[in-house]
Amino acid sequence: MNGKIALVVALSFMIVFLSFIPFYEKYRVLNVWEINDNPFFQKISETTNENILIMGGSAVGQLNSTHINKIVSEKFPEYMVYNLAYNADIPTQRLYSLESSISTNPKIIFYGISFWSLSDYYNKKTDHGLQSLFEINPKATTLNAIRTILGDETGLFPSQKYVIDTTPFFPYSKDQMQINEQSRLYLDIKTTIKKVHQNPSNSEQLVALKDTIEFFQKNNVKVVFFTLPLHQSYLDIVPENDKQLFNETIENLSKKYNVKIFDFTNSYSTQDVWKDAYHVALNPNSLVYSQDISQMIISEVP
Amino acid sequence: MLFTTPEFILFFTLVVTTIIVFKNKKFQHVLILIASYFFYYYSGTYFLSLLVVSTLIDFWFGKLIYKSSSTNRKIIFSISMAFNLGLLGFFKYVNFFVDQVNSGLTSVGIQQIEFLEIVLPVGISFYTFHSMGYLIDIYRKQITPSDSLLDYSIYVAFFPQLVAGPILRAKQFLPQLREKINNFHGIKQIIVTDSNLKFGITLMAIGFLKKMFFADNIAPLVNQVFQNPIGYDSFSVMLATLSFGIQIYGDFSGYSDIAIGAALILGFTIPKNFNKPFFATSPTDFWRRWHISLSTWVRDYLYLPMVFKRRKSLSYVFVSLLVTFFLLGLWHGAGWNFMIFGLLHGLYVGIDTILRSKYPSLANQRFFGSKIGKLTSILITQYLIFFAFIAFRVENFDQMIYVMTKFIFIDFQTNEFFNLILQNKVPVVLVFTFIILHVVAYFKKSYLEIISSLKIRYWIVFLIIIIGLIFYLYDANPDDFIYFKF
Repeated sequence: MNGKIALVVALSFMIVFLSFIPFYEKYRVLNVWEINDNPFFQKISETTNENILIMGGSAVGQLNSTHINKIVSEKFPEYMVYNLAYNADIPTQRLYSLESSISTNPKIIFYGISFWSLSDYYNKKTDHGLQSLFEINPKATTLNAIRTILGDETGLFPSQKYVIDTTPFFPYSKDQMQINEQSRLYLDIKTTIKKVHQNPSNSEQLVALKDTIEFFQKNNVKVVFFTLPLHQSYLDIVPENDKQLFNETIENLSKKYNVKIFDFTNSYSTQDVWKDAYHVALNPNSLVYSQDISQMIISEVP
Repeated sequence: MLFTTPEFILFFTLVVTTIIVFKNKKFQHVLILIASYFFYYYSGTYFLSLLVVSTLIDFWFGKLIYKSSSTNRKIIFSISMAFNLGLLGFFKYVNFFVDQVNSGLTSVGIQQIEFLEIVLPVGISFYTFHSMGYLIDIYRKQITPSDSLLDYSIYVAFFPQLVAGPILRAKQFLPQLREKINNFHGIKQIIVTDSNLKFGITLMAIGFLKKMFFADNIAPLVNQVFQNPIGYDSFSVMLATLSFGIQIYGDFSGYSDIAIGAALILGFTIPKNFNKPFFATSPTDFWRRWHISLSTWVRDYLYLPMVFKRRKSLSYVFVSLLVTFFLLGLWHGAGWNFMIFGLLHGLYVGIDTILRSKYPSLANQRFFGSKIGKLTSILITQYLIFFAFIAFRVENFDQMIYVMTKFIFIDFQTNEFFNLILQNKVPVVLVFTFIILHVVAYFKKSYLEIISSLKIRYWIVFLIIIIGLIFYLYDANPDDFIYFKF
């Protein structure tokens, strides 16, 4: 009988997992970095514009690419700026879309980085329970299925995201536009400290970033880095040692690869422009961020 | 090792299979101890040595207390308590103490003391209480010390309950390791019976459901509000507090269910740790239903000895309750919020006790016997209990004052509240599903027995539903069990 009970338990697991496979195939959510096959790249490569690409995570996504293009085109009408940011970008993930990016014949690549970009926090970990076994997120798949099945029909899960042509991989929602009071910019201190921990000798991200630079330089594309702006509350909790290590690392990169770095880390740290402690709001009252990035681009156009 | 990881499922399956295959009693017991130490090592690395050393010392203390004359007995007992409390105090409270001293030193301009670089060993609050309970029982002559170091080590380190309880009593657990053979208490054969296996798996499945389906999926709503509650309206704060109460219940009672189920499969009975606490009709009743193993431990080893000689003085009883609950709060963690959590409960139970003593006829009023009266008692009690949960969850004093004020003085604003619901549809649905299921479970008290006695062809449907619910809504980045940090 013991064996029968064990068999029933095993069978239950199998039935659930097997039923998930077709469900996953139908409703799976693409990982944010799986942009390589996106038709966007084909479309852009067929244009006659001189292309400039901006890369990075959500803090780069908060840039207003329409406004940037407006400013840049006043000086260089032949240039078109595309913001290829996606959520939670890190250099190891960006490697997946380098080939597609180069297919657009870019003239310059601007890569926005900050303390977390080179942290050893993102080294491959195994402590993610079922995730480490299957490399999937069942909840995201189920929620996507609910949205797909119920969303349009019932209006219960309407899509509240907007996509701009020049920022194709970073859909916007209303909350990204909201400027919050500085006193409400909360941070999970423990997690933040872990996420900014610098260990250059053991950072898979640093290796990936070097590979990225080498790849673009081999293809004769100019690479420029800019450090992302942060609110003072964020800067206050990044340990001094990590700040110093990060600065040393990017200075070394700059020297080794002859890559220019623009520093925006402290640029707006006490201004009322923040959605949260590490995202400038995408708002008409916080355009200063996009304007400064536009000036940086203009200064680098040959 | 988290219960909710594939590693635990694999580990537990291996342990159970080995016990079924190898019938040698001594081997089975040694295997359980090795498995428990491996489980702990996997959770807390080098702290295993601390667990082993404290086990050896307490085993020795137990023998010494038992053998000593009455004067020496008291001294040795005091030393053993100082050892255990010292261990707990050092790892858990020393940096909190340093922090408080530093606050004082800063105000008078004296240089601050450096914090010690120590990490809290996983489960230290639980296994220290095991050992202390064992030593107190020996001192009180309620039990004799275990003759077997192996038995005692299993009692302290038994893996299902090692890192987050329930807190075991030696007199309940140690006899389960022995059986009477020809007037001799020999090592007990561990037999995995069909009924225990089926009931244990059912209980574990319910535990996994509480933790992984409910608690983990309700957490995003709670985190969104409590990461910075200032600015939220009253209804949002109340929804988040309600959700947190359900989250922590699902988390901790889920852990307890898994622990009790796993122990039962191995043939050990661990008393239940929760008994529908959200149906408590008074604060005193709540503590008979919530974290029962801790509340009874504190009652038997701290509160009752404290009031024994002066139990007729209501003011003394009240102060004793305040002290007891203050320490109970402090047990949860070194922070002012836990102390306030404890003091609030001390206040509740103290007032409840005084009212019952001064007005004994109140409880017999017809109103409290009626359904409406009972429902009113439940609602008032739960309002107070959830109010105290705020202190448990907040991260600083300003936030606590803000949330508590919003909880008491309702502002009737709804903008943030509706936004919160729209952003957290899944957690909100789960909160209300939980409440419905909790009510059903309250009226259908024997639901576990009913499920576990289902015929196999129906039982598999139950398992598929539970595993399906858990898996299809499994979050790739779940939170740890909340009580792991205690």
